[in-house]
Amino acid sequence: MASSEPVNFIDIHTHILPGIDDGAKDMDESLRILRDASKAGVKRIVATPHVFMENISAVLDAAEKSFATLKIETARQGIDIEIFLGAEVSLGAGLAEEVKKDSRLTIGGGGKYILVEMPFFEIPIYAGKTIFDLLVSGVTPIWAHPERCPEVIDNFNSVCAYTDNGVKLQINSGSLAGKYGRSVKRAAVNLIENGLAHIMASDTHRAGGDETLLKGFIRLEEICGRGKALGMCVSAPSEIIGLNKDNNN
Amino acid sequence: MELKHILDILWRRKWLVINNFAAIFLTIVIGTLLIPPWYDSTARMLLRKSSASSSVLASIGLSGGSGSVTLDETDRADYLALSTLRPVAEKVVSELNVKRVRTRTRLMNAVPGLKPVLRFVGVDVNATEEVMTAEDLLDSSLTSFIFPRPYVSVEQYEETNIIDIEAISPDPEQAMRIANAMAKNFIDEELKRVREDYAGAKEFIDNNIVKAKHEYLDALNATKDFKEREKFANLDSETINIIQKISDLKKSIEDNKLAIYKTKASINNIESQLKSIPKYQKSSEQLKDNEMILSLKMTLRDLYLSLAETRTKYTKDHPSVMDIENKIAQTKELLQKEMGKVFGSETVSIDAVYQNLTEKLAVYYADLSGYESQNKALPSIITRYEADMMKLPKQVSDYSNLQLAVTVTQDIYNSLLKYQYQIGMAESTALSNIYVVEPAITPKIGSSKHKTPNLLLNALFAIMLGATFGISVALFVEYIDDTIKTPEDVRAFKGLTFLGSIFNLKKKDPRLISMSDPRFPLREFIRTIRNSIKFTSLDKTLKSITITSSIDQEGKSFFAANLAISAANEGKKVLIIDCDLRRPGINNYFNLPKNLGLTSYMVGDQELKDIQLKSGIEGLSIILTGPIPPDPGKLVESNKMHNLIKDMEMIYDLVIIDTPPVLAASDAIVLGGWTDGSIILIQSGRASRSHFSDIIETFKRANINLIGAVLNRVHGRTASYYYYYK
Repeated sequence: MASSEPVNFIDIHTHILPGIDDGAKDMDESLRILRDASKAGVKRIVATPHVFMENISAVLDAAEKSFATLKIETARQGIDIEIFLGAEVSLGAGLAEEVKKDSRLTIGGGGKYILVEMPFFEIPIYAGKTIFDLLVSGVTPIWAHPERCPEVIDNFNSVCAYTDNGVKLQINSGSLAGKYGRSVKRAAVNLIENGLAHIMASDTHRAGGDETLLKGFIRLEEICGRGKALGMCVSAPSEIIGLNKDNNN
Repeated sequence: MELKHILDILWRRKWLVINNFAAIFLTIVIGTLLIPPWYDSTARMLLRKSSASSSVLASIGLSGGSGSVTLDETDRADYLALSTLRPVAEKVVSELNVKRVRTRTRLMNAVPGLKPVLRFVGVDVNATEEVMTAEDLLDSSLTSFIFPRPYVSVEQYEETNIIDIEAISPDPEQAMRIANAMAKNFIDEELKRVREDYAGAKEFIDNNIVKAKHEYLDALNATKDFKEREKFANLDSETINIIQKISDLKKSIEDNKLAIYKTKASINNIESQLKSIPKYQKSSEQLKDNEMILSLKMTLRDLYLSLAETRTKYTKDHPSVMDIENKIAQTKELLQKEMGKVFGSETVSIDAVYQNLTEKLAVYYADLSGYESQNKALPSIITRYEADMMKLPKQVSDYSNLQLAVTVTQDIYNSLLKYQYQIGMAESTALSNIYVVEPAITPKIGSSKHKTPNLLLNALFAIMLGATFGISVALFVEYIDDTIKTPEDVRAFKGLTFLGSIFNLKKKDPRLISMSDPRFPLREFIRTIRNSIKFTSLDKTLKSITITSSIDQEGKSFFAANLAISAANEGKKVLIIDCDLRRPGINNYFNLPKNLGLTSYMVGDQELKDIQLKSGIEGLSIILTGPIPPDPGKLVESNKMHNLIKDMEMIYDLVIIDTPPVLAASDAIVLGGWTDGSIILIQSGRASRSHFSDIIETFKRANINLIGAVLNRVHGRTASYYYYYK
């Protein structure tokens, strides 16, 4: 059966770097997360620590060091997973300028895609302008978990102003499991069913327990079918981390 | 969306809903427990028209009630009419000596200390009970719920001929006794009413029967004597015929006398019933004056006369007799119709009971005049026959007279006997017209079925009423509430930028971002607001900002402190100046000596550098108010203050000034004009829209750069997202 074929997942939103943000506390937890992810079929994973406008370089410097150590440790432990570095950037006024200064804000440092997070309580007044600035400077914003935003919960069509302009939406696999409540789940399903969501990622913070990308994928298949589910969990992420163009694998 | 909105409102005002609900619920439940219980007991009666009695009555020309075998609406309404209930209730009250506890006694028992006061005023405090009136017994007013007393309600059971008499009393035994006594007296009263119809006839018979008997015996003796004395044998058939005719006529007169008596009694009965209903008296008189009715009555009387005349010549079945009888029936019908018209057109509301009574009355009047005219006409006819008899030979004529006396007295006596028997029958059968099918029984103490109030039922009612009232009050308060509550409310103001919101923090939450862990939501609120401020001022850098609010304690010092810390954390050199000399707030957030500050420099002789205190947070300095002067306004609106701000702008990257509320003093306007921009703090649910519009207008006129508004202490659904981070 086609549906039982193993899928090589790419997870573009995780907090696996040890001791950088509210994600993995130490190297041990980071390695456990990676080991579990690898078992669940994740072949490539992007570490996206929280970054705020006021501490961009400090966090990114620390993240780079941590990333290097984690990469070495992963290889030493023989975990079959490829790690990339990115960031989950809190949307702030003047972000586009910062990206021009420091491309490490983008995923894999490629300067093409940036994972951005909205304030959890409302879409701020500067959101439209900041996103526009990013888009015109050639960086595609990936809106992390829009299904958790109150405006989107109230009316999922409120994302259209952004998606029409080229913004990509990333759904959390945990949202489909109801991890953040029923209204968030409903918003996620609405976005997927209406073809507004592009990517699914895990947003993993802890080892064990969390909803894995694999479980999310199975739910996703039920909602939109295997083809689209593969698109959201494999092909769209691989485009984002630059695999399709470089063709180096 | 609408339902969500309503739920949101209810959630925000949950305490208002809960308090109102609790107040109503507890009032009803406690009231139920406090009110002394009362009990109900029901006696059930069946109304039935007995066919036997009706036919008996009809046979002697009496109509017991309406004459039909089944009961119609009229009859039931008749039974239930208050006019018949009141005398019944009066009897019950006097029979059972029904009393109730005086209201003032209850009040005295409930309110301690009221007794001496009332005694002082001169109220009789010793009489605890008073005898009830019939009206009280039949009246179930609202106060009888709070101060239970005996009362009675009489109702038709669904659409049947069953009448339920329900008695209610704090004493179950008394409830039973009242219900049964009501039923008994109800029947008695009704019987009395029916019997009054026969009363006239009965009286007449009782008066005449003995006399008739003697007359009959005397006549018999006289005939016997005559026969022995004159040796007279028999009369020829023609003479017998004459005697029979005279006898028949005389009997008719007697019959008519009886009928007149009976009719008069019925008329009296109906008229007394009509008189008890005052609103009908007027139309009763109209009935007598109506010309059409009068002429119909005359016609009817004439017909009766000719009937009497004809009956002397022909038998009952003769066409002429039947013809006249038909005419009488038609005239009666016309008369009834005419009466209906009179009442239909001229009286506003005639109920069925009344219409029925008046129609009967009209017929009785017609009948009465008929009988009277007949009796006037009959003697002349009799005289004619008697003259015929006188022409016979003396002996025959004498004997005929005696024989006539015998026949007449015998007939009269016989018919009186017959009537007496029939009326006795009718009276006894009338007993069974109404009877108790289910006597009232004493309800058991504690049985919930016959006990009021019922706690469970009242509790359910209390829940429904409480919920409805609580929700209504919440929605009403929301409707009349003019305060700014949600981000949408702020966005609705034209020309005002909404910078962001801060959710209602919990009591145990830290108040400063410097004291909280990195993922504490307050950081994200402040960060978002700072980004909004940056966004609104785009290219020009703000060197100084005043923070104000419309009224006191909306959180401006709290916000000023956090905004300053946030900027300082970014590596900026920041200064907070607490200019709210009326109600300083900044010192609540930093542990600094209070007696050194702005006034120490402005009025006192402290150096400017000495009042800039280190906050303990890198990059953040603070100038507190210092000792509070009696006239704070003048101090702030001085050139020295203006210069101080300009000087501080040179030293620091950002100067944040905490000012008094706009509605409290003009300081915020003055200081706002000296700085690069102003931010207004709004506490959700406190500042009113109308005030806020005025403030925006004031700022515009003063040419102050209003950066925007921050909504503090936001409640509601969205606030729950905050807990994902915990």
